[in-house]
Amino acid sequence: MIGRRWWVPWLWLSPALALIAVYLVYPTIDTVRRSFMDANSSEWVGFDNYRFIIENPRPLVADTHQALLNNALWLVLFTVATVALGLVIAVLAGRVRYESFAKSAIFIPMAISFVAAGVIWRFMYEFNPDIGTINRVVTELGGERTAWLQNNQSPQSWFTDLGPQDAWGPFQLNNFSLITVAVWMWTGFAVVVLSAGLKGISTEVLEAARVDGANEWQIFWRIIIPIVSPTIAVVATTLVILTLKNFDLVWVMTGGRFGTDVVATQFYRQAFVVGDRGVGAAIAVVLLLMVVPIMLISLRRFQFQEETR
Amino acid sequence: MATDPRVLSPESVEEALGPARAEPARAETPAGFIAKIPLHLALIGLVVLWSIPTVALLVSSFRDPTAIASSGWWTALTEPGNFTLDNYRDVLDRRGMGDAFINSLVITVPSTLLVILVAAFAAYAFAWMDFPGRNALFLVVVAMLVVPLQITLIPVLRLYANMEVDWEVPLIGGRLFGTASFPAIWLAHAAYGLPFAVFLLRNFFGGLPRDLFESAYLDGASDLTVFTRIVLPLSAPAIAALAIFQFLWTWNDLLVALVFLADPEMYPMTVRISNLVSSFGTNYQVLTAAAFISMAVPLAIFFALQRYFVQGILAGSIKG
Amino acid sequence: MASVRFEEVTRRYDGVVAVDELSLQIEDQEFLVLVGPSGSGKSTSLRMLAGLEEVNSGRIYIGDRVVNNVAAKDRDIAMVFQSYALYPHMSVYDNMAFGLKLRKMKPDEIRRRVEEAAHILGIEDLLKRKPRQLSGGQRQRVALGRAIVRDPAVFLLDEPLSNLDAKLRVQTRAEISKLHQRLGTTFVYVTHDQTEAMTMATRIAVLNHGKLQQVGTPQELYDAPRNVFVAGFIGSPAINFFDATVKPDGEGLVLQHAGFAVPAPADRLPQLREYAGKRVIFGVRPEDIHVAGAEPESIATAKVDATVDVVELMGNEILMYVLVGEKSVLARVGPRTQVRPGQSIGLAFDVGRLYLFDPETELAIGQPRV
Repeated sequence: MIGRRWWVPWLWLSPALALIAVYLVYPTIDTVRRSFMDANSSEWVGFDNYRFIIENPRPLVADTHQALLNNALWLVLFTVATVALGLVIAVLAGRVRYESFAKSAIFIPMAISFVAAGVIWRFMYEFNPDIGTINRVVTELGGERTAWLQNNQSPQSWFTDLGPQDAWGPFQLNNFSLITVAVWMWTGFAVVVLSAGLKGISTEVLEAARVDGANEWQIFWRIIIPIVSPTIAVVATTLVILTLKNFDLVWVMTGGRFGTDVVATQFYRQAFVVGDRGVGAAIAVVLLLMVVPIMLISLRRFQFQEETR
Repeated sequence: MATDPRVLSPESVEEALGPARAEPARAETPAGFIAKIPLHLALIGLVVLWSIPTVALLVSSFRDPTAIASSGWWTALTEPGNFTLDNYRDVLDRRGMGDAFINSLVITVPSTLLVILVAAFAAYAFAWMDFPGRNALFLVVVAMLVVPLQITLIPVLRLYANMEVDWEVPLIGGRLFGTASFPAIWLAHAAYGLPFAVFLLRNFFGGLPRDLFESAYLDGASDLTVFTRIVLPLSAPAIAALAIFQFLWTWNDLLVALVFLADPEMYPMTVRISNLVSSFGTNYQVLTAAAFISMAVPLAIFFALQRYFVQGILAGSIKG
Repeated sequence: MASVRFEEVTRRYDGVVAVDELSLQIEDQEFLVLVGPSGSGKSTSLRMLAGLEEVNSGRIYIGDRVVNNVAAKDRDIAMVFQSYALYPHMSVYDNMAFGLKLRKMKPDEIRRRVEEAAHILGIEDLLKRKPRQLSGGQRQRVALGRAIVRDPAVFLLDEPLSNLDAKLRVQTRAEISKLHQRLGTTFVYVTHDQTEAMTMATRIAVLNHGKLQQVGTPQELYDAPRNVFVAGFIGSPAINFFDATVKPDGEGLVLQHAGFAVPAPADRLPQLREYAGKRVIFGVRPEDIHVAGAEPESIATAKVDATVDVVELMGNEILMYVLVGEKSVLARVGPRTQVRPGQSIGLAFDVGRLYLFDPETELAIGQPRV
């Protein structure tokens, strides 16, 4: 608009920019700074904190390697499971008349807090089969009841004696238990977004494929998935970002103990419980570095859309 | 589907939540129905599976402690009559959940209003005002979406500790500013919600037709007039979606409250329940009731305003 | 009421020159149409006049005022947008009253103006409705109404008929012309459709690639186009162009095309002598091509043989596509003419009505007789 004074846009932006600068930008810079300082942030220690993370000298107090590996497991398993389940449900629900009811039911867990979800699933995972639903089902089927959240053995150890009992790396039973809860909560999100993406496939394309002789399986893999792959990418990206920031769920259910620590809970423990703000900051920076590539991909996709606006 | 306002129209939500568009209602032939039985079984099975945890909680919260400890919640379904409201009474009166509920409200409502206000102004500037560095600045804001909350905690905490204003706020209590201060936490929540809010609103505002603005400028409208009389009324769906998002996110937050509100009297429900879990790990009568109370508000909002919630997610996720 | 003047106005962005040193004088109370193909700079020029786009160099006057840096709302103009730009959440009445309310006009005065405009446009019954409840034609009237109530010095219209169906377009054309006569305000109208320009304008300004090609009354542009572009743009169906070489023929000259020769028009022989042996472009309008034997008696003609390719029966006339050698030529002939595709036919070109152009500068060489 001609005649708008130069400072007007900045006036409109200033509250938002101020808040973001203070609460997001400044802390990020400050955290990076602290990661190079000692526990009380009084002396410069260079890369010592990072070395601490890499060398992991005190695994009983705070096992940094384990946290990183656990995060990696979360990243892959949670994302894949949520997307896959979301896609399947979206496809199935799209074919019935009670579609919105089904989707709503799956979606409900999204509205509740991680804390409440933590309580719900503690209840489900309860060791006593008279209380814990899952153990009840397992014992009814003839299996052994398990402490799902505490059990850091290999997953197969609960139903068979075969194979190693000690879990290799992050593949512990309780990690899977936690990831299950997260999947339960976030599949609804995937379903909603993927469902919208699926609606973008014109029925004529599918009918043409059927006329060409493709069966449902082929249609799913060769037509549906390629067309919704951008949507899948959006969902996956969002979930990955979410996972890396994931704190509440793990904290409430296990407090990061029994080998379920992730980077976010580690950070909290280091910074607030152990009191080593230097290492805490370093862990946070590591987390940030893990997220940066995702951010770049997101931004590039966003910039591309901007050009077509 | 794009960044245009049509994404946030009720029609698009129908599409997302309802049956497929453009397909005439198919009368299900008997053969068709039978062929679909596996489909129905699978889907209904998943729905049931998904609902079990929540139902378990709900049922248990109405049972007395001995019953919970001795028999599974599923038994209660077959023996009606054993239900009690004691757990809820206990939790509300003695465990301080009633107060925590109020605290949650005090934290959540102003934060939500604040974030919408601040984000709307910024989003308008990004969408419809020209200034140097506009695109770069917007990218920075969007990039902040990715920053994990945790890393902001120590620096901000320090800031709060250094900037304490000890004046007691009337009615809601707490300091005016600093740690254990409601206004301080409103600012924090608003700030954390800004990247998403600005992103969402800016995309929506940007989708409004350009000539609408030009016509208004020609009519003599200033930026503020266009903002209040044209953009905001037309953006009601986006703002509603944002409000719900922010409300839920803030209501369900644990970490920010845990870190910034040092005073136990100011704890919202999430922190209270988290503490209950640590101290009453297996007293499920308490936990289930408490958890359900904290879920009540989000669930109510969800059921009442499902459309807008879904719209919000779609607008934030699907582009083009 | 005010005149408008563009003084070497230029607009460029992204390295593209959208409007190139446009100089144009629009008189008070004129209905001036800016016409040209897409990308010609006509909309950009209008928007600069409105104050919606910056002027990179040059000056724009409304009345005696230089308005380059004057905000749009202070220029005393009103604009009708191509897509109407109605405020979707306001009623028709509020849409029309919006600008007046912002100027703090008294409610009585606002009511009077809105009702008067609504009456002129025949939309009194629609005042309480919202835009989405209106048809395209109705919305367009509301857009016009919104501009009328402002009682501006200049009316700007940006392709207002493009979104209407053909029949409504013809009807609304006449109504806009009547509106202009009734209001007596300066109208500046942008369109890509030369028919709209020809039928509504008091004067037409033809633009191409950001440059003003010619400005004049519809008849002037039709009879005396300054260059190839204007000749080809104005007049529907479009003129037929031919490449030819100028050759001597006794005392006169002949325009030698590939398959036929046409004697040069006598009134322009002097100018043509400079082109002896060189190429020229000549144009013949479809209405100036007759079937040999059926032409009016008083004109000089040149006989050209052709084969009929496609025949379009319009009812009131026949549009006949013929092949002269390999070249496709369009002729308008009488509705009772007996022609069939594939038929050989002799055509008579009206020599006096030939348009001649220099092949390099594309400027006209003289003008055909009127």
